[in-house]
Amino acid sequence: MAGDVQLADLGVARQIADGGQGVVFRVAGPDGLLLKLYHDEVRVNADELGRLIALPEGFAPPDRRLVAASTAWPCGRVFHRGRCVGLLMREAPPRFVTSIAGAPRLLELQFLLYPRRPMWRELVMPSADERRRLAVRYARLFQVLHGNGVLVGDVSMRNLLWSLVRGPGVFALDCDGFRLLGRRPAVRQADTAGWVDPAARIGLPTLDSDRYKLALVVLRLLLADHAVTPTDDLGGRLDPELLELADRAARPGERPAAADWLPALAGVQV
Amino acid sequence: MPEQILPFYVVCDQSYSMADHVDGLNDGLRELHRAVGTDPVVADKTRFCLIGFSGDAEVLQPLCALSDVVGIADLVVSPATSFGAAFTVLRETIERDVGRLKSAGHRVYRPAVFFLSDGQPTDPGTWPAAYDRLVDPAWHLRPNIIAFGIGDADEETIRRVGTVRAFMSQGGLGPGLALHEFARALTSSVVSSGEVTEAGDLVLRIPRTVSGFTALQVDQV
Repeated sequence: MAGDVQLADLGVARQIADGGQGVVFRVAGPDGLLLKLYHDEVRVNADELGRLIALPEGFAPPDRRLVAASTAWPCGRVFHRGRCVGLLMREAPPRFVTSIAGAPRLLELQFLLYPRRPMWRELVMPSADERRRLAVRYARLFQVLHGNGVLVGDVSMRNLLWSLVRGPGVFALDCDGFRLLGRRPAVRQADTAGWVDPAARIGLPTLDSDRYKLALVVLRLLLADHAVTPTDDLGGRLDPELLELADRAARPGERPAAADWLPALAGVQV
Repeated sequence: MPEQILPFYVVCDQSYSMADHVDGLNDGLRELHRAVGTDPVVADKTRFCLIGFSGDAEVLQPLCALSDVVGIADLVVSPATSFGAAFTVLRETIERDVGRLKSAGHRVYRPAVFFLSDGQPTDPGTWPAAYDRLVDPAWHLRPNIIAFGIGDADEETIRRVGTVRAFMSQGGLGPGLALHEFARALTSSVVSSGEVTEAGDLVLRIPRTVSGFTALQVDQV
């Protein structure tokens, strides 16, 4: 637990990313701790961020362990001149980083949704069975979050990572966009294009819209197709049990819960 | 599969005056290649072409998805600075490339050109006509041009070449650093433009400011 810190007290080692909402730095000192410093125009709700940081303490121990191992959950708020300007979070473990073209690269979900290209030909891609087991990991993560009243909100091919090192594993980034059901997020995030629930109001996720996005993750991962949606004709591409779930995912209000995917993924033929 | 595609053309001066800095520029372009080529979403939506010009102009990297090539050709210096050759080859290349993409069923967005020069044109009497053909309002493929001037480039010429934005390096900035910043701005533009908007379109995004450069007022018509 990093708690609240002053920006001036942090030794910043190196910038590692510049995203839409802020710049991410590696912090000098404890290994694996990152600082996300928001751009000036980003409004941060410090109270909600504090609530989000404290949330896993109230989870049952197995859920707490899963969230700790599978997310970059914020662990501290960063203040400057009395204003919350950033957060501290854990860096993705090394198993979620690879080297492509001689440079480190996060293993983002997007690599699994496009045909292999010469530029990332050295990347070890999952087999069909490993894709299924990765889908199980994503569904388990959503199940635990939803079970504890947490919505993911913005789901995209960039903020979900995967690994095959020591077995299939997943990791979620940008967790400051997570929110408690019925509450506002600490930081508002735009929906990623192509990952929007057509039935939801933009920026207002619900449990049903989160379930729709999980369906996108599962289907796109299994079918290695970045554009597929539950409303597409998937006959012949999925086994009957998964087809039935995809069909439900296409109907607002009836989207399968995360747990519903688990038995169907256990013995799937893709 | 038909896709939405935003093509980028990088048109670089490789005249002799670039000799001391061309390695730095090539390094910057390699960084661009690595950043874009290992980003499946951006690589899918954008295409990249490199044209070098001196006394004449040549396509060094034909239009491609940067994930499809494992290396891009280096710029190599030679004499003279013919803007006219650059604009003529650019127009022919755009015409051919866009025609090919469209016939494959893709939805092609207006091409973006990043133009860079460190000197004054050696064809002052003829380049304006080639430029006018490139930006001719009657030509439906006329590109958006972002012009960068470094070193001895003439501010007025750079301002005139840029159709949407123009930048001139500040006196205190060495050419090596200026080229580094140029490559960073280009990379940032390609990466941010390669994300489909919530409305389902591609939009050309260009940094408003580039470190070490002064943004020039581009004429509005």
